[in-house]
Amino acid sequence: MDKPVKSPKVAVQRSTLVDCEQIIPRLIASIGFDSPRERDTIVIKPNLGDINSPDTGSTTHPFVVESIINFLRKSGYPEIVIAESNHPVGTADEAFEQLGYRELSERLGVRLVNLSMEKKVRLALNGDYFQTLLVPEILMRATNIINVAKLKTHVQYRMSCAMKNIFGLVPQRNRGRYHPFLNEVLCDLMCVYDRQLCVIDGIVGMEGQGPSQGFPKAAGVVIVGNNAVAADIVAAKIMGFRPSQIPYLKYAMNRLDIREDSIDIVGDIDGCKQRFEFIPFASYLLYRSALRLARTGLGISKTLGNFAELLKLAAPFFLIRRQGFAIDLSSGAVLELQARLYARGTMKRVLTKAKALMRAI
Amino acid sequence: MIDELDRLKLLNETGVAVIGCGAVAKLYLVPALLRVPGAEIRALIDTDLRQAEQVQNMFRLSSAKTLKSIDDILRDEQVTHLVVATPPKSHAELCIKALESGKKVYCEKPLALSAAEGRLILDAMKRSAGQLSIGFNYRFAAQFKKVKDLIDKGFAGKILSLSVFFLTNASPWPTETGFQFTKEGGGALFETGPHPIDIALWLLGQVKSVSCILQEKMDSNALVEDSALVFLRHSSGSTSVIHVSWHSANYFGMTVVGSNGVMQAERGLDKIRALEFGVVGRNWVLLPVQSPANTSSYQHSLHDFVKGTCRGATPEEAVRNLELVEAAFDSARSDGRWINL
Repeated sequence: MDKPVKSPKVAVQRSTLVDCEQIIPRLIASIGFDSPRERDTIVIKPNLGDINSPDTGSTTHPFVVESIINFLRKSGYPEIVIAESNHPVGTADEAFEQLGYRELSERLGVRLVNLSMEKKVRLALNGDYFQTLLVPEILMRATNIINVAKLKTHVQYRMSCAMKNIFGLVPQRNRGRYHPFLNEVLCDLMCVYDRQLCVIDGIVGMEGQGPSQGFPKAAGVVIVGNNAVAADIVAAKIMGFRPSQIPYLKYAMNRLDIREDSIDIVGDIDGCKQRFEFIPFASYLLYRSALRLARTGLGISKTLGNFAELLKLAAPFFLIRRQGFAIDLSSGAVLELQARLYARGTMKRVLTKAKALMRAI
Repeated sequence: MIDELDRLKLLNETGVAVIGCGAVAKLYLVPALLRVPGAEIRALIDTDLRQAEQVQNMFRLSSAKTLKSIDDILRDEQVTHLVVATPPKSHAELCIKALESGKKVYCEKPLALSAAEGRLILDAMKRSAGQLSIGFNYRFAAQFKKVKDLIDKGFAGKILSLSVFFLTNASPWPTETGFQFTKEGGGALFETGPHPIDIALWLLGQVKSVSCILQEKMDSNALVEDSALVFLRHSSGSTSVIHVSWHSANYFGMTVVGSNGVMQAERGLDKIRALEFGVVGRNWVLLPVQSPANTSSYQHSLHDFVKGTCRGATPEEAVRNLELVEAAFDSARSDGRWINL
């Protein structure tokens, strides 16, 4: 596969939600984005991977997307499409409706596309993970994809930003099964969707138990780049992580040969740095071990798969110890008392099973 | 930069106040409300201010006011929606005050201590032409919605019976007031029973008679019943059997038997089981649940409240629910005699 060849350039600036309408076009201009032509199709991919209020920092604020649409309209009149796929929490249509994108599309005359419902073509890829990839037709004819990601933490990968947002272009709803292989999957997607402009909305990001159950972080920063890997390297630094600490980023830097010092950075990174709070290291370690186990065990042994699930369930325990509770998508919050009861119950079951196994042996 | 968060929140059109910052607020309502697009928690109210402050710190709601009484909020035009999560004994007073002040109200189940109190709330709602939603969140659980959808489409034919099991371990419930374990608003039938009763009303319609058996207390020191069996005869001719229990298991599931098939649904699963009668060679099939199965039904219920779409239980149904619970207690007192409504 061809690698993205454009020399990576990233621009950063502090911004508020009100100012971003002026700041985003300025940053886009500074990295040298070609003005769209009348016949172009521009696909905007916001992060709507959860049906969660934009002020939690989990989903892209429609105002940021509106700023980008206004900029595109000033420099031409291309066909503009806002695209998202169905995800485990809901459908793209529900996300458009509930997060203000339906209203935005009607007001600005842009089309909303649910990628999961689009006609797809199968692309022969021979990639690091995918041999073939299902690509929605609209993405095949897109002149450019504008990847409008969020600046947020991720319990399994430390950070979820521009590269991870592209994962939402995989139109299958149950794409969570690719999570153990995310390094390779994202690298493949970077090669397929290489005509990308990345805009990272870090005006209000998310810290802690991200990507959907953390707390808002008023980071007040916007990052624009012509390469998702480079944009993520800068984003990681701003959040207080070393790029090599982010597993998929480390993999992509090696695989696509993008070095930190090869990125042309416009703006003052140090002035934008914010320390994003993260989950306890022990929790992260359990999440990573669960992924590693799933990667090894999937398709080989059901027991290994079950053990990976168990590790994933146990991972928030250290977070609960630290802050007294953890947010749970299916109920609300889990307090320490309940966590102890669950842990005791689970241990009892594991021990009973182990005893039965020993007896059988 | 914190003012940027505040500015962002101002874009939210709906100001919400949570009244009662105990276990339900901490575990379910506040985390769910935070995820509702367009909603902003602007006040946390509890007679014990420490509880309100605890919720404020826990969920980092620095811009929300913490208050001891609802009086200031009733005059505050920035707060249009109130979520009542106090013990049931104060529901009537709070809901009536709020509705009369023109607020939209979401009240945790049960609506009130008695059907008579419930009717007073209903009258207040009609007088003020306000909006009253009840915390029967399981109507928004994807699995149960799927069953309702299939019943409406006639999948199982004429519905003959419904069995609902709501088993929950109440002892570790982190209650602040402990009201569940007192005669006033507590007990498995009064406190937990309204959920499965609401499901039965929703799926099979009006009830014409009730029978109930309150089972032996597992804990001899408890003041209230911890297990109940309720039988409902519906006007449609079908029957519901409801088992509510506060013992150790956690399970909320149902089986619907119709003239053409059977369906089984369970909270938390992403599929329901269905069996169509008379189809040779066919066995149970697993039907996927369309809407998100893994998100809190509280979130969908509160979203419905904030957006004013009112797809949940009506206040009239909530009062009917209280009448059924009262009739069930009457029946239990006379050894399970059928009580006509």
